[in-house]
Amino acid sequence: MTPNPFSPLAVARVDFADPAPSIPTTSARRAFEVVRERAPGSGATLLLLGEHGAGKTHLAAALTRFGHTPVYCAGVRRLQEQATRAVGLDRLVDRVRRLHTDVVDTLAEVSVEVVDSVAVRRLEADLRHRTDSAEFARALTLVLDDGFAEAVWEWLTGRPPRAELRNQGVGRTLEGTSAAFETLGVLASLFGTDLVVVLDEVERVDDEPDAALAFQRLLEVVGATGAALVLCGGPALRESLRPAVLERIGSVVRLAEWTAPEVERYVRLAQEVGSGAPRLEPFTAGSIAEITDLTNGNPRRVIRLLHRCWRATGGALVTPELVRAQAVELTPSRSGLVVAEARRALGERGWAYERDVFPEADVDARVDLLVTFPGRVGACAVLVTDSVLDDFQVRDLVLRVESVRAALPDVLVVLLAEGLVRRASAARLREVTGVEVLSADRDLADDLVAAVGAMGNRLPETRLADDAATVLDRVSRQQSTLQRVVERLADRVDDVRAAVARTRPEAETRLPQEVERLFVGVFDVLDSLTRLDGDPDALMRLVYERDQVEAFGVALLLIRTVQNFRDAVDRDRRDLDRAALAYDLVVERLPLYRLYPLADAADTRSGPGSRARLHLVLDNLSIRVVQAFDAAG
Amino acid sequence: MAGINPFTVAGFDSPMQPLCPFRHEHDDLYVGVDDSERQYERFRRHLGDLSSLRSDGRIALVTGDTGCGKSALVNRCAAWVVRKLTALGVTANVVDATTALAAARPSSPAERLAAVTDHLFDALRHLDVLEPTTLAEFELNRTNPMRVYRNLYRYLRPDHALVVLLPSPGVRWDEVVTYADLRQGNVLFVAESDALGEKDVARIANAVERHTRLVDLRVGALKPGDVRAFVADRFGRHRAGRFPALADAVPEWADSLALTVGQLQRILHSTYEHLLDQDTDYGDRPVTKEDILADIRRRNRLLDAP
Repeated sequence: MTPNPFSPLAVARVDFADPAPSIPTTSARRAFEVVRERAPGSGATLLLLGEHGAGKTHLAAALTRFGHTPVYCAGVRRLQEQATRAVGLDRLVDRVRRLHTDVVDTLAEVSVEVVDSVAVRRLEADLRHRTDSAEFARALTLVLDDGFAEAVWEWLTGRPPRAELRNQGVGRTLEGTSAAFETLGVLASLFGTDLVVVLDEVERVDDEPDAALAFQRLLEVVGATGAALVLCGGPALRESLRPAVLERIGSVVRLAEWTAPEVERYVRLAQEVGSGAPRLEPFTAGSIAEITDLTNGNPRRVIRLLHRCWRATGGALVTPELVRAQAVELTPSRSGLVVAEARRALGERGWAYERDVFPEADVDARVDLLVTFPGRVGACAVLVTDSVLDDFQVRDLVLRVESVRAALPDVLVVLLAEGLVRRASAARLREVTGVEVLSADRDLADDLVAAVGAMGNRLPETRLADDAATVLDRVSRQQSTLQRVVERLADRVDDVRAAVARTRPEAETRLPQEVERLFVGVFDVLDSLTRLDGDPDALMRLVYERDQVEAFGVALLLIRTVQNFRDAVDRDRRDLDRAALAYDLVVERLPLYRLYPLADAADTRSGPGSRARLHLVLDNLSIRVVQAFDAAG
Repeated sequence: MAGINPFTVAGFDSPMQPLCPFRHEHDDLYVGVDDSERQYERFRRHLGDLSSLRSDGRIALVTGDTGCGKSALVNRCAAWVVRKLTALGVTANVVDATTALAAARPSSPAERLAAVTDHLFDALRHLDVLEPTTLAEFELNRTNPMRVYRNLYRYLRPDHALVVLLPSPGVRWDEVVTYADLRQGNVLFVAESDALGEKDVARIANAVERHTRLVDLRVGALKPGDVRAFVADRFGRHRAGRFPALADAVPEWADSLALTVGQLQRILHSTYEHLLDQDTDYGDRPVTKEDILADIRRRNRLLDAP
């Protein structure tokens, strides 16, 4: 069997000989041009923007191939160490040695014989001129001395200078982003056009007071030395840059989503790389269109979905229906896992968070993770949701976002979908909420940290250490006790039960008995699923298990829909077909598996069979209602 | 009369080896060029009657660019101290530890110090100047600089003194300070460095001034007139052999290059050696600036060859 030509992860490996196929999109071509055409005295500075999974890292890794000294850094955290280690001591010593040779050659042209100690002094002066730093000049001169090389290397990677280095006038510790930017500038002055630096996954460059200025200086040095600097981040990165920084960046390239023809090209290319034939099959124009739509053209998601579809059919025909099924499959409910992963990622960053927050004890305003940042007012609310593939889910989500915003006005919202988000849904959510939905791919942690970090940067700064904590304090006051939430929830459950009761057919119905029996069957089953009174465990599940809450919502909608259907046919039998069609249009958006959490909970209360009963009463309800009317004449 | 190279140094196989009067009959080979004579006198003045050396020990540091005659000056100073101590009835020896770091190339300050005492033990045992009763203790402590120097007076036979020529500290001015702290009576440490500048020397002097006075000597490039003096000295020593004179214009031209004495020795020795190898008309015509430049080019070509 032909091996699957699509990567299951579609995460760019920063492997400088990465053979992963690339399609030459316009933005990629532009980025290549910028980096390729740099020259001494005219370096390349490029801002590469794109959503998560847009292929920034993939492109950036490819761009590093334009330099003999590629330096790839993921984020500005521990940038000092990342940058120097990417270069390596050997390469550094080699470069300084070459500069020494150049100095000796220059001296040889003007003197009869070169005096070693004079050459070393001249090298240090040359380094001081290049790096504009007496400390770096000294350290780099000393790196040629075996006895100092290790100490210099330690210092360059960010450790405090050893005593013997301090005695040489190398006294400060290179810590923080500013020092790292300065070091990158020094590397640019040493390596010139040989150096291509990629700063990937950057949220902002001014994470400390002097960093913006240091970065500005770095851009100037890169420009003057002919090196290349590629700064990659989400679209918000551009907004975070000060005008003085932005105007020093030579080019800005935004990685666009793939269009269907681009997805098609990718499929052909990947298959050509895999098997030699640039085929579209087993995909079709229709399935490609569906994949593009469902993934919003996000390359990483496209490739993952392609992988799944191929795996599902073993290389046989992939239809749009199969694509949809795989898209759903791609989003198994793993809320516990996602939240656990998210918490771990946030914890690693040292950000304070509260989980399962119900501000104003409002069930609709449930916040999965509420994150605060030191020195910032307000907080970032992470709302976790399933895949967002239809309008109903969009509406629910919008409601939830609005509830959260109403309850917590100084909070910024991040949406995290445990799967795919249809292009139209994503656009609608962006329009309504003003935020992009994150898709919980396997590298969720990184994406989430980046998005939450970006939100944190948008929060107003404060000098009062207490301010950051006030949101959590207020929330905990509002939230008061879990008891209160449970009480509110119990009220809500009663409302639902009342709704069920109200929909009970009246005694004086004009409906045929068989038709009535069908409706009563539905109401009975839904009633049994939503009957939680006296069961504290069930109520607690409603608090802590998101799928329970959602299943409850679905049950409520379903009850109302079935009620409307019954009312319509009860009012006027001539409306039967139209009512059945309206009902079908709604319920096809309310798949029964969404009620499974309630059914499973009911099973633990009163024995198995709830799922089967659901299907028995609800499958093809409209057809059975029409048939029952026909039978009754 | 056989052709000779007037710049060859008796007793040395390489013309670039620094003069070493404590091992060879080199005392009168010193020419008072590049200020070295004045520095030598300065050293003698500092050490005076050697009373401070005998009671507390001393440390000397010679700085200057590569080839300025630092090692030759160090050796000359060491030889003077040995002679003078001998005259005072003290047995004095020079321990040349300048290559003590060559094999292991230690990098940490502590390892560098230990490599020197380790070397010192072997050298002193070889000289047979160690006190038999404390030999085992010295051997046990041979890589512990603090213990070695503190007890050195017990490890040496009575009325013995040492001149220790240290490995070059390179840029490590602090190492010189450490040796100043470790010095003991009857021990003279002498170090030389082509990487320490005036500022470093001032820093060292400052750091040690409460305990001792650093004997700092500095040598530099040749001064106008030095070339002529050097050449005249060397020519004057070889009346028995046949060799060409130096064209009149050469000393003045060489003065303008601000060479070091090492460079001068190298280019003259090499040019004469090359002409001697050619043999045909050696000694018949004066050696010119063009001969010297041709020889330099020839050597550079050899050095640059892949």
